[in-house]
Order: sequence, then structure tokens, then C-alpha cells
Amino acid sequence: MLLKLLRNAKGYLRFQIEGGFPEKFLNQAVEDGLQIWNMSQKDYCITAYTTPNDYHKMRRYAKRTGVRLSVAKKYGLPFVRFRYRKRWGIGAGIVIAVLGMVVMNQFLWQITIEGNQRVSRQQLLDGLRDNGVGIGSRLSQIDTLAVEQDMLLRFDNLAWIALNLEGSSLHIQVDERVLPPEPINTNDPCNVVAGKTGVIQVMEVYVGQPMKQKGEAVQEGELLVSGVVTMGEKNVLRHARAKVLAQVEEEITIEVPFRQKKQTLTGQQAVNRSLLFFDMELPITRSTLPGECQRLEEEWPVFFFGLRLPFGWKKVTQTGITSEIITLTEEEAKVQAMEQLEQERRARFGNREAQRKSLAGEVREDRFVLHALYLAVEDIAVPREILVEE
Amino acid sequence: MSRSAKKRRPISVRVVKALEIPPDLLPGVFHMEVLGNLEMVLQGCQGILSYDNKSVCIATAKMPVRFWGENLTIQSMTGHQFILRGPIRSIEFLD
Repeated sequence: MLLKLLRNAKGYLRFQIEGGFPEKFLNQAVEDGLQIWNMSQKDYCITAYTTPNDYHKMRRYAKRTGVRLSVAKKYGLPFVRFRYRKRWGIGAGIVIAVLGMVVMNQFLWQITIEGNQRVSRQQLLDGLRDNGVGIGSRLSQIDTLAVEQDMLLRFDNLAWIALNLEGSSLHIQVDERVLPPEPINTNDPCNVVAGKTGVIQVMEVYVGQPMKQKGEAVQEGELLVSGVVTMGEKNVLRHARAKVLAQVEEEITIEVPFRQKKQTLTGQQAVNRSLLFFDMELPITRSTLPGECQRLEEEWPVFFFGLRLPFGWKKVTQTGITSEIITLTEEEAKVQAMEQLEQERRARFGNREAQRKSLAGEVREDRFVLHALYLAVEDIAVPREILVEE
Repeated sequence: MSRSAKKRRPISVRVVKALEIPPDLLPGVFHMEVLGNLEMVLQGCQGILSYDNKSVCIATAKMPVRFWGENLTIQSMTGHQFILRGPIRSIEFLD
């Protein structure tokens, strides 16, 4: 294999020996130290391989022994180079490609992050950027150990972080800290009071003297579980703890103005394309639309066998917008208010069961106001410290 | 048959045999390695006497050696080493 590579690098040729005294020719050539290999004979013609220099030297032996030499085929780099000697662009391209690879390998191409849940990717990337690590950073200037330590100090939620540089890629593995629940200071005596007005559905008392029962209605601030516990003839102060699920009323008010600003797309578009190179953006086309416009950005990074290369395309599409003031009818405003009410209900109650008790709408000056009353079950237990005079 | 009529071995051969030393040390003895019938390596080659598709005759210091076979290829030929490839059918020592 190595011999073949060396021969290809230096170049070699296949030649034919015909007529005369081929044995004598071979003996003389070999005696003179010329390299000849892979000799085979077919139809009174010997085929063999040699180097270009040795072939040149062989001609005098051919003359002496009366054989005819002819080149059958040339192999190797020098012949290829000679064949393409006028196509300097190929050579220049190869040189540029090799130089490009050498230079590009000095920089960071991509960052992958694994294991993060609470700490977002963007937060981690911002932290890395503050440490001088980002797409396009010089690999030799990245001190992974120092960055790891700084990132651990910067993010409390991280228990462990590892920066692994593999070629031009940086693979980051993080492990987030599982925070323990805040300790309950059981030494401070406290009562449990109602945080909201409602009807008790479930009452689980862990510590303390229950003052209310299931089914009872309570007002906001009313005592639910007392921290003063009677033990025999003595009263002892305790840190009362309880879970009190109560049905409470919650009101949601939605206001929809009749006069609204409505934006419509004009259909007029301006497309700007740019070339991405590391963190840089090199604009290729630049056009802008007058007035307000909607902006849509799309990126196409280039991948090579799963590896994200440090360049790609970016397209920014601007679509014109016209604004006009419209006046809604009461019915339209009501429909809009109902949609907003549904969104608000989802945001406030989430997956909790909430039953709508009443719904009322009214026109108030320039707007439509919608009031909705919901019955929802929630924990209303709120600890309140018992002030003790010493 | 009289003793003088017998062909006597050269003295060098007799000395080597008597002293039990390797015969490689004898002048003009060539070394030949045959790998199955596929390849033959010969040390002590002094040139090619004849070469065609079916036979190759090699000159050594002592005697010519002829190899018979099919599509015989001379893999390499340098100063004293000679490598022959191809299905070798027989080897003939032309003493």
C-alpha cells in the first residue's frame, strides 16, 4: 500500500518490450540498478512497469540489445499534474480549499447543548458568550475548565456542566440541580387562616386545632386551624399546618373597545437575502418597504453528514401592513370578549376545574364589558404568625 | 564399478557435510523459497536466460534453473533477488 502510494506520488509507467533480445535487455537494465517490476509476457511481447527516469535510461540498453520500447500507459501524480498544467484553476481551487479547511478548523462551528430543562438554551448561550465562547470563537482561546467554573457560578440551577470540544464542535452537557423544598420552621407558632372567601370542600389538618369543618362557609382572613393546642390542662403553641380546599368565587372582567385599530396585510413584499458566516450576516440584497411591515425571518444552515457548517442562508420577508380604525358592533365586540374570556380562563385556572356561575355583559360608554363569575376549587390555607409577648 | 569411476563430490561439499555446517555457506549456492505454487523467491539470481509465457530460465552461480507454469509474472528483479508469481507447475535444475 505504502509502496503503491509512493509510486503514485513519484509517477510510473507501463511499457512494452518487443523484438531483439529482451532477456539480455532486462539483465543489463537490472544490473545497472534500474527498477523494473511486474513483468509479464504475452504474444512475444513483454509488459513491465518502471519509473519515468529509469525508462529514459533504458533506451540505450534497448539500442544495444535490439529491442523496441513503447509506453503503454502513464500513472501517478506527475502525469496528472502535467495533463492539467494549463488548468491552473483546479490547482488554485485545491489550494484554496485546503487553506480554507485549515483556517476554518481554527474556529468554533457549532454548539450543541444536552440535559437542560429549566435553564434555557438561550440563557446558556448568553452565559457562554459572556465568557467569549460563541460560534466563530477561536478554539485555541477557549479555556473549557474556566468556562465550566464560571457557568456553575453564574447559574444556580446547574449542578454540573461539561464542555467537550470535538473538532470544531462544542458539545455541552449539563445536569440541573434538584432544589430541596424550603424547610418549614416549626418553632414559630402560627395559625392557618382563609386566604379567600369560600365553602370548604376538603380539610386535611396536619398540625393544629381545626376550627372549621367541611361544608362550612368561611370569610377571607377567618381562622381555619388554630396553632393553640390544648394538651391536658395546658395550652401549647404549635406551627399549624393544613390543606383546605374550598370552593371560591373568582370574577373575570373583559373590556373590549368598540373603536379598534385593525391591521391588514397589503400583499406588498420585500425579500432580503443574506449569507451567514459564523456570527456574521453578509447582506446580498437589501430593500425596505415604507411604513409598517410584518417581518418573517427564515434561516437555512448547511449540514454536512449531520455537522452544521458555519455558513448558510437567511431570508427576511417583509410584508406591508395598513392600519385602519374600525368600529365594532355590539355583537362583534361580544364575540371578541368571549374569545378573550376563554383565554383568560385558561390562563388563570389552567387544568383546574372551574364552573361558570354567571355571565353578564354591558355597554359602558365606548366599550363592551363582560363580567364572568367562576366557581373554582383551590387551597385557601394561609399561615399567619401568632405574635407572642415574652 | 571402480572407485575412480564414481563421480566424486567437490571437496567443499564434503567439508560442509563433515563439519555439519549449513550448506548456505558454500560458494555458488542459491537460496530459493517457494510459497505453494503461487510465488517463488530466489536469492542469488544472476540474470534471465529465457522468458516466455510458460517458462522462465534463471541463471545462478552454480546452474541454471527453469520454472514451468502458466502466465508467469516476474514480480520484481533487483541485484540478486528474483520474485516469480503465477501457478508454477515444475522446477527444473539444469545441472
